Amino acid sequence: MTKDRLAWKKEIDGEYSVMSAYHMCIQEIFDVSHFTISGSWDIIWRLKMPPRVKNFIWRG
Amino acid sequence: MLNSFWWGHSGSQNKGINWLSWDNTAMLVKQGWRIMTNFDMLISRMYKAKYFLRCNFLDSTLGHNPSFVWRSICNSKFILRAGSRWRIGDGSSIPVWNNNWLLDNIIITPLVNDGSPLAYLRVKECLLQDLKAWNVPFLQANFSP
Repeated sequence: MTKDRLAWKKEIDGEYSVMSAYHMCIQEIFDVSHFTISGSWDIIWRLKMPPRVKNFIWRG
Repeated sequence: MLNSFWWGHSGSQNKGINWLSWDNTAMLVKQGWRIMTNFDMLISRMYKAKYFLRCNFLDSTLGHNPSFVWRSICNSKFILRAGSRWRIGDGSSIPVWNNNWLLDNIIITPLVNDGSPLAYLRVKECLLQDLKAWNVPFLQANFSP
């Protein structure tokens, strides 16, 4: 029995592709204006600590 | 690899105007896709532990004290919802409700309330094992047409 897996609809092999996602966004005109994250996130980059720690805070 | 496209924020006064473009969105969604489909990656396990311990990625919420990257990925989840669907193996990991697994892209909202044993129904229970056929008696007993 095969395993359940998620497939990306726009590709035959079901793997995500940036190109088809981009076309999907354009065709269906998703509103992406709320993607802007509010807050002073650039403070992270001014902290005095190793870059890897800053990156970790930002990602985590 | 993750860093290669977060460049919108290297300049400290630039508050993410680049996030508005669809091209970036498509690349952001790719990060969500990787987390959703590769459970073993360190980043997936970390996000799972911190933000969606008791549910799956698509049902996750912003959670407590979310990071910039998680906020961004969370905001873009609706595109993953719209663009993905399940390929059914044995159906054991696919919830019946609120998931895209039917042929015609219909997503069924729960017909039962949260306390019901059917609230956590998996597709597997609707199928006859090894036969790739519907478990018709089960469906007739539990679903009103």
